[in-house]
Amino acid sequence: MSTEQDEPTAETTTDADEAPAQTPGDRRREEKQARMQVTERERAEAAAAADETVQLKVFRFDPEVPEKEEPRFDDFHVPYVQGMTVLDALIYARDEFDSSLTFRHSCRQAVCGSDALFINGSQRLACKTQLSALDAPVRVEPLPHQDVVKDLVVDMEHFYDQMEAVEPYMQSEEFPEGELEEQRQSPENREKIKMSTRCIWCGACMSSCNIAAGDNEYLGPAAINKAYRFAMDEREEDDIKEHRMRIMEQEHGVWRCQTQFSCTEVCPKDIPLTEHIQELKREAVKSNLKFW
Amino acid sequence: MSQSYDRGLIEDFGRWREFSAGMWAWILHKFTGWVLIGYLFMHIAVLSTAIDAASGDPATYTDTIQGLESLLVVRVLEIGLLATAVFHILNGVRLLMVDLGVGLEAQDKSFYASLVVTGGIVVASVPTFLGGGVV
Amino acid sequence: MTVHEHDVIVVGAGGAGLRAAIAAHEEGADVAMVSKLHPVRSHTGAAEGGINAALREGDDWELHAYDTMKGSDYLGDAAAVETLAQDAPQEVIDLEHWGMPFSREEDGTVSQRPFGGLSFARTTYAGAETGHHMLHTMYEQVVKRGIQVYDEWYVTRLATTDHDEPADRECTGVVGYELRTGEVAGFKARNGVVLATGGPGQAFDHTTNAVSCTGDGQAMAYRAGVPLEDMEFVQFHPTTLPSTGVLISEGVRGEGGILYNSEGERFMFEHGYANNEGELASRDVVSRAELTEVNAGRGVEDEYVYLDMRHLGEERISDRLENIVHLAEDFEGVNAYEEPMPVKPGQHYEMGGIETNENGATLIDGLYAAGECACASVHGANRLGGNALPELLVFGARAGRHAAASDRADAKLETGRTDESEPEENLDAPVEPGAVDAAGGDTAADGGAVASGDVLEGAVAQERQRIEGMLERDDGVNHADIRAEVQQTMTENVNVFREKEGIKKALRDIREARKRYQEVAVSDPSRTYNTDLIHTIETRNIIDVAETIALGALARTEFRGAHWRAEHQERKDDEWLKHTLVSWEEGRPDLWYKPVDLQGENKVYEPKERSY
Repeated sequence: MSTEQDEPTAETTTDADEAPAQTPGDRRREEKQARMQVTERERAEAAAAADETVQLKVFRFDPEVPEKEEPRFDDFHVPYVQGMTVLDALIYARDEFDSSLTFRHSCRQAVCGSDALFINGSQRLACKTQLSALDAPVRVEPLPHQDVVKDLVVDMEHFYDQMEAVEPYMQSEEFPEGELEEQRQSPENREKIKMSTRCIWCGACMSSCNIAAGDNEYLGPAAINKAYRFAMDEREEDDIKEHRMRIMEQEHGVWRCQTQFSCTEVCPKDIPLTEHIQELKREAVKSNLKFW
Repeated sequence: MSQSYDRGLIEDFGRWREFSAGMWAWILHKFTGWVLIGYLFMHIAVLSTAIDAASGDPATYTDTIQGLESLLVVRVLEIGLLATAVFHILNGVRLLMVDLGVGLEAQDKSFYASLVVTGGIVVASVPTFLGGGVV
Repeated sequence: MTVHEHDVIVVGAGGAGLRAAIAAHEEGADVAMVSKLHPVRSHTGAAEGGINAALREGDDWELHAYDTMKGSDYLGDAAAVETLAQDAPQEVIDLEHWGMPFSREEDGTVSQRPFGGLSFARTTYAGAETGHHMLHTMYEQVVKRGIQVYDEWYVTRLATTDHDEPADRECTGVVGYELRTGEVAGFKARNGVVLATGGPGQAFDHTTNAVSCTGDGQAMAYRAGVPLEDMEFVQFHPTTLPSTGVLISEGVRGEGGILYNSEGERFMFEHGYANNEGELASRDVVSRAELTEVNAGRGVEDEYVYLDMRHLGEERISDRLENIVHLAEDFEGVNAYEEPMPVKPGQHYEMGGIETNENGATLIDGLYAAGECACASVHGANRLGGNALPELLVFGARAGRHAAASDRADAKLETGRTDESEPEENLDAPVEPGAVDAAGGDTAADGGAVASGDVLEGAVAQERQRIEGMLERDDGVNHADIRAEVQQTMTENVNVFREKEGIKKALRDIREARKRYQEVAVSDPSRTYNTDLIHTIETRNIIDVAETIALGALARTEFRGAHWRAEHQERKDDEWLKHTLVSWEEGRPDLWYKPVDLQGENKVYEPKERSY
């Protein structure tokens, strides 16, 4: 470790003697620029060598790197192989061409919900979007309606806040008395909540929703779906369900939904979000019309 | 310290080329709704002033109407009005179904059906509106 | 310098981490979780199969313990195995009370299904996405309890004292790097640190594990002086999709799915790999059977075999295995209702890990570990399907409780070197393993122990220096090249079939990778969300962990459980009824052994032939 550090330090001193105005940071950026040009060439060569390449146009932004301060699109020509997904192509572009290309990804199998991106104009999970299903060039952007942190990474805090605003946890307090005894739930009831429990918090729905874009306090489809998952679960007592309905009926709750179905279209887990929101609206009406 | 980049309104409505059926239905419903409200107020304004004018000479009212109806552009606008009203009614029914939770999985098909039915009625109405002069 | 201070710091927010945090919180401790991902992104969410627990009439914990011990090929420690079997039912009931959407029977009770290697249908499940539901249910509890989560903070090292003997060292906290801002901060743990960082699947290139499963906790604990136990036992899952490594749950075979080769033979029976259990034999048996078929020329496209579930009928498939249909479609383009799915073995689970006792405590005071990163040892030489999830519940909870409490109950299992441990003296390593500049090297810069002053502050300062150094260096090797080399050599040489020369080659390649890592450079200069930096640090962890796997594989000259050696085709109980341990000593791995504990509560587990 220590020996490696000596060399660059020595170099920096000589540089500083010759051009006192140049800071190490400047030098680094210059060198990086030079490297970028080389990679550009390599990129073109690699593209020419491969039989078939797919062109990706990827959104780039980094508040700290001068050449990326103004958002731009970079082109990557990735050699195509059968069955390649958008995520595979992004990983290839990062590992082979530009290691500063930044995006969230983890499981590669559509359960972690990290890589929801705006691909060719709609919200999709990069890992389960086959390149063959898209028109080239493939335009990859961060999720709309969320602030961009860097490249394809958006700030998810607001989404998490909304998810947590609906008290997303089981609140039932009456448990069976026997030791090691579970609460009962009918298979039908389990079936009813099944789709709603599949949510992976990817944020695609919230990003596609115009209402959420215009009203920052709107809970959004994912959070309402989470509330639905508990409100419909028969294991929770009636008074808790009423409490949940009160959260749903508030000004920025279910009534904001204007049934555009955008969320349902983009949900990578095929959750019928609009249907769940509509059902909660009906529940809300029913619980307020108690006179019959 | 990190900052973030706010893309502002550019992304707020997405790309219209990528709009889904539900999104188009929503846009058209809002649009037709506003057109109908505009027409309603125009209609009230015309009627209320026409009644005043007609109290002097009933022929003025008839002349005005006949004069308007003899213009092709007015006939075409009437077809437009019919189309607007029919679509708004049909999509209104569709939204009612959506609110009741009936056939949500076919919401896109019902939107296309509304469009087709609207188109059919409009085409069928063309001879009535364009043909046959006003007496 | 920022220091976040809490009673208990849990590193990693997957199943084990969440369970540990909940348990510590229940003990009244002020808990914080630090994770490089948001908790719901953790890889526990990808677990499909289920949770084994002896819940019903006719079953009991002793049967579960026996199955587990048999499955482990008698390399599980009885105290840990029995703890798992005893605690699992209560853990399942707790999960149910927290709202977990288990699949149900007509009477509303939790369903259980048969799983490979089990003598009773005791695997509780929630569709074919048990892990997803478990992860979310536990995260919901963390939200409910208001436990603080530092998400997207990457823990890069432990703050431990630098006593000569690892057993004397103490862990006082961890150092974290925030992805969003590039800040390096200290996390001080008043009572204890729990490592729950998951497995090292990324040491292999065909794996079911997430990209983030890089063995960080194992590597950090290892460099801080905690031995890694039984690392050579790596489970290869017999049914993963060939192109991506996406897992097809054992549930498919549990429900009656069958395997056949290119000649249409149901080879598990027809070629006698497992005449009784067939497709439901334990995972190592099925994995080897598949590769044997492929090597014998009976594979499809010389690569894979078929897994067929069409005969189950659409209704049953869509009821119980619906997500499998989606996986096959999205990642392999196969319609599982109409055609068989191509499958081949892929790295799936690391049985070994950070040596702990049955309370999750490690050799270092104040340091605990649970889940896949730990090794108590429950799984021994081979893990049974449906035993990973109860393991992370049971040992996550125990580690959390013990980390929170000031008085710590004694454990039956001992950690560290004892009178019974023996050194490895004849290891025929082709190259000198360990750090490249170990002799004169600064172990602290390596992530090891810290000397003077406030341990945590020292660790933060050193880590800051290390990270700055990486960012400053301009020209060098891209970590991705090094990582790919390690992954390839591991998959080629230390996979289901292992032979001496291959393992030696892997060790030489890992040595080369280490040398090249000396020249590694992070080309992204940004402090904002620098994943290049994170991946570069991870690659170092992969190298360390891969080396321990290869060393263990070279040392163990027998065939036991998941570890198969070409030159040694039988289980050698006289010689090898012992755990392999690797300790990082002044930059060098030191191999030693300790005996297996087969003395159960009510009986001694006598090694028997493991046939299914």
